[in-house]
Amino acid sequence: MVDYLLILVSTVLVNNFVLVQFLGLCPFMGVSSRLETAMGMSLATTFVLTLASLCSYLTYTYLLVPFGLEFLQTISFILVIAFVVQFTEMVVHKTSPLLHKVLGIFLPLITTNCAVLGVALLNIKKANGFIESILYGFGAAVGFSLVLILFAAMRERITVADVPAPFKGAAIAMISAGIMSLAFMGFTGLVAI
Amino acid sequence: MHKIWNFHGGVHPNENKTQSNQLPIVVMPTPKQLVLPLSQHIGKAAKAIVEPGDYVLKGQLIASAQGFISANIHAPSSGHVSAIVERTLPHQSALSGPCIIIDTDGKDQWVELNPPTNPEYLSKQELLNLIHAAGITGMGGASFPSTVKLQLKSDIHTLIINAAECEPYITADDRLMREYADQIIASIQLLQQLLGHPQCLIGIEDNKPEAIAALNLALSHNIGQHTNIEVCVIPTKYPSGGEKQLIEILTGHQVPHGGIPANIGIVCQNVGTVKAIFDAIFKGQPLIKRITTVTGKAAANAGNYEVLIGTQVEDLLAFANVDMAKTSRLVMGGPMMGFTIQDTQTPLVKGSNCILAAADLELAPVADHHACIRCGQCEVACPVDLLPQQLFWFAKAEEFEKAEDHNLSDCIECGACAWVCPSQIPLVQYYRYAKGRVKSLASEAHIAELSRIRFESREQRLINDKLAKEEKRKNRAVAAAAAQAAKRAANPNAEDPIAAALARVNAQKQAKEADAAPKSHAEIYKELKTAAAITRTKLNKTSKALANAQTKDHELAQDLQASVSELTAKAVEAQAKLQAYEAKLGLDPEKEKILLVAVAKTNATIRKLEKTLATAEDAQALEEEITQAKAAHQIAAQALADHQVTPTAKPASAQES
Amino acid sequence: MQTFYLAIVILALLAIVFGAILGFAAIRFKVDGDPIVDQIDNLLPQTQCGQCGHPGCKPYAEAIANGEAINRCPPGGETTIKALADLLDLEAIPLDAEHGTEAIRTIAYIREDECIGCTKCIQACPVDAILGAAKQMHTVIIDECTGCDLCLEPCPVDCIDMIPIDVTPISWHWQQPEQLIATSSLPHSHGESHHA
Repeated sequence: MVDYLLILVSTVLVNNFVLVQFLGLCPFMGVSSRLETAMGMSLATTFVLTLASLCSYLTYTYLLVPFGLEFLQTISFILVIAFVVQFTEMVVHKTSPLLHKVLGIFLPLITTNCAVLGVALLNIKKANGFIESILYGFGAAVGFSLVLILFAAMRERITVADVPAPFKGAAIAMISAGIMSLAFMGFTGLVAI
Repeated sequence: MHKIWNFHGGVHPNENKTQSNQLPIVVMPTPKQLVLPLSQHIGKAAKAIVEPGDYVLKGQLIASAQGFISANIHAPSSGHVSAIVERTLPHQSALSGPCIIIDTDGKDQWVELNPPTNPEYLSKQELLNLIHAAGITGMGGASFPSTVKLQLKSDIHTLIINAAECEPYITADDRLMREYADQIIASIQLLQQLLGHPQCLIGIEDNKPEAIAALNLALSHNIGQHTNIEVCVIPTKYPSGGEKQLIEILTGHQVPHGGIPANIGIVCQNVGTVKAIFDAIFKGQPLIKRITTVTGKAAANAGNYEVLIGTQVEDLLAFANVDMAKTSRLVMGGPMMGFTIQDTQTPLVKGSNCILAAADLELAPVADHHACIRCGQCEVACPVDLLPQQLFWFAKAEEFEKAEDHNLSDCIECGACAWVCPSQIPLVQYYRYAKGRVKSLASEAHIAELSRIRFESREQRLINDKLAKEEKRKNRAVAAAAAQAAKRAANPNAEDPIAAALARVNAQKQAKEADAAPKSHAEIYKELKTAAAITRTKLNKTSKALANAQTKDHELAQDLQASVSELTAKAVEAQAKLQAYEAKLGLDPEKEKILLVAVAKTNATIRKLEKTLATAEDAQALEEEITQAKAAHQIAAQALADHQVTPTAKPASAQES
Repeated sequence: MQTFYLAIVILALLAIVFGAILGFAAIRFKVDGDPIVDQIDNLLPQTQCGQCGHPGCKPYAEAIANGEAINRCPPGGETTIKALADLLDLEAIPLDAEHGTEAIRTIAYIREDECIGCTKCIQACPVDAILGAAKQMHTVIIDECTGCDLCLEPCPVDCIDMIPIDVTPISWHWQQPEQLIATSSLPHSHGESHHA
């Protein structure tokens, strides 16, 4: 039980995938200009990450390992992730066309989000079990969502703030992200994992 | 002692009341001219029922309320209506609006007044009718027609009298209560009668001890009767006089978002309105005067004045000896919620409670403002518990949807947030701007929606028309083919039907031409004018096309050049004809009439003879008559043509009459 | 060698299984039409003037849904561009001057003395805002006119004027306050004061 809690705290705060491990920066910068889109993206990514993490684990344990095909992990994980993302896109398109239009290219780009592949591969590296894999994926997604929403809320305020001309737009966003990252490094050593 | 609650926030600016509340109310003499705007109240403007030149008596109805939310306007003094024209309105925009101007004759003669003999026995509807007839609106500043507030269907359990007068400088209600306390209490009892005997709470700030004493004294005069009126003294705080804030102080309840006090069983009336209702019911006098404070260091005789509605500000300033040279800012209203006026001929209206003639530095200057430092003082001060800082960010960034989510519409524009802001940001201006944009965006969206529906209906109509036409054509073709076949089968030797039809049409046309009524001057003139306009427009369009083509397509430009020359010639000719005809106009219209009649008569004779010819026995004699008649017709037509310009006349020959 | 074939088989198996599920999902979650077009259309001002290059607002909405620039609507102006940018998560670009400039709203007015009753303007009006019939007087219904200018061209006697709407105390609104940033200089004189 404590282990599961530790996994969650670690993935959400201490080893946050975006601000500490610097994975998944593309959607982080791209979708965070508005709070509504950020929330939509978080939901989509949470769904994809958890499912992908689970499917990757199952594929690895029950398909690759019995046949000694561990070296195929990267390509088969990519297959799994691509499938999950495509499936998610179809569901989003059906249930919320506006979100689909708004997320636009970023939805299929979850496929190439290194955080998703990273979670899948790290699960293997850490030799996580079934529950741990799910929690690891879910925790990573929650960490991603937390940072994405915080950053989006901040960027909305920055848009109307009096920013000097050379810093307007992406520049000030990057600087803010950097400062946020510094803040998150304060969590180092909180949990030894 | 009634329990007192508190509302969130509020500020304590310097009261500055002693400048004007030391002396009793002075009645200002009737000014020479009164300017009554037709819209002095919330709702539809009243409609004037007098004309320039009419003589009106004091208290006579001069503009009647239009619709449910509207109010009557009465003449404040006797005199002549000199005009109904546009004048500067007492509004922040300084726009003009229609006003009835009355030049007073000094007699100040009242119209016949008919106050009811026993007001205690009047029914609710009768009281409301009297209040409506008297044109009573809220006198605390909002000017909402009072009958609308008083006749709501909800059960009212508390009547609150707003005697707080929380805004600095203003002391009109203070002096009113000191001098007319008995009348106010009598009027309150009448209102209680109207509203079904709710309890009454008079909310008054503790900086008016004399007024409190006066009211309590008046109440003690009614010891025999059970009045259920209580004077509640509340701590002095701005803006405790706001309707919703006062309700919260006296009852602990908040008016729900987007709602009105009647939703929680409360009606709120300003004490000035209450006095006006007394005058209306007990004396039969309509609302024609009010107490206005003149204050500020530039006013030598600062104090309260009983002014007639429609008095121009400059007249009041003169009477109160305001030194315009010393006045750095002239404000209508108080320092927190008033607005600056530039035109001193602006009239005072039913809601004008104060004129503030501020000397240099008496009011904070319009300063440059600094950036928001996010101190949060504005949130602490807001009486409605909003987030002024957020509203400011959203208003600046034009994110009006978010501002609405943060309850922008609940802002009462009291100015407490702007007063505390260390960066001196004009916050209320931003909120007013945002509210205006929200309103205009909503109305634009509404108009766009209606346009879209109209457009789509039109598209549908065009499609339907096309389909219907197709249907008809098909049916007609089928029917015609069938008829043709039937005819040919019945009569194989008949002459060609098409030729016969053509001959018939030609004959009809000729008959019509001969029968046509001769044209009058006006018709010919219109024809010539139209022809000139058409050729001129064609020329303009071709010239424009030519200019366009000259830059791109030279071949097309050449063709167009030729057209332009041709059209120019035609246009000149048409214009000349028109001018010639215009020169001719004004000729004897009587003679034209006679000639027209003659032509018509001869025409009619011909028609009649031709008709009888068909059935007559003596054909030859008739035919001779017809020929004579035709000759007479020719002469008459020629005479008429000579009198007018004929279409083929050359410009030069138009000189002859 | 066996590993090699096994690898190919496993990957092929994965691909087929996923492909099948996706194929099924594509049919099950099929989306008809494009409701985003309606949402875009609701933001456009519905003047049906054609200044964007499309014959009406709905065609332009459809074009925007297919990727056309959002800055082509002069009657909508900055407000519409910003609203479209918010809806579609695009950048709010300034109005494309090639399609016209943002002007205040005008209403058409027919000079009745010169009207010849030809109905050409009635046929041109996209919202049927002109009342009249052949050889009868034509007049513009002010409340329905969108100010699109389409009636000016067809009139053979050029008797239509475009008149701006007057501001009334009801339609008047506050302007945004000047954004003055204080400097370290002394406060200037308060001659021109606007607000209390």
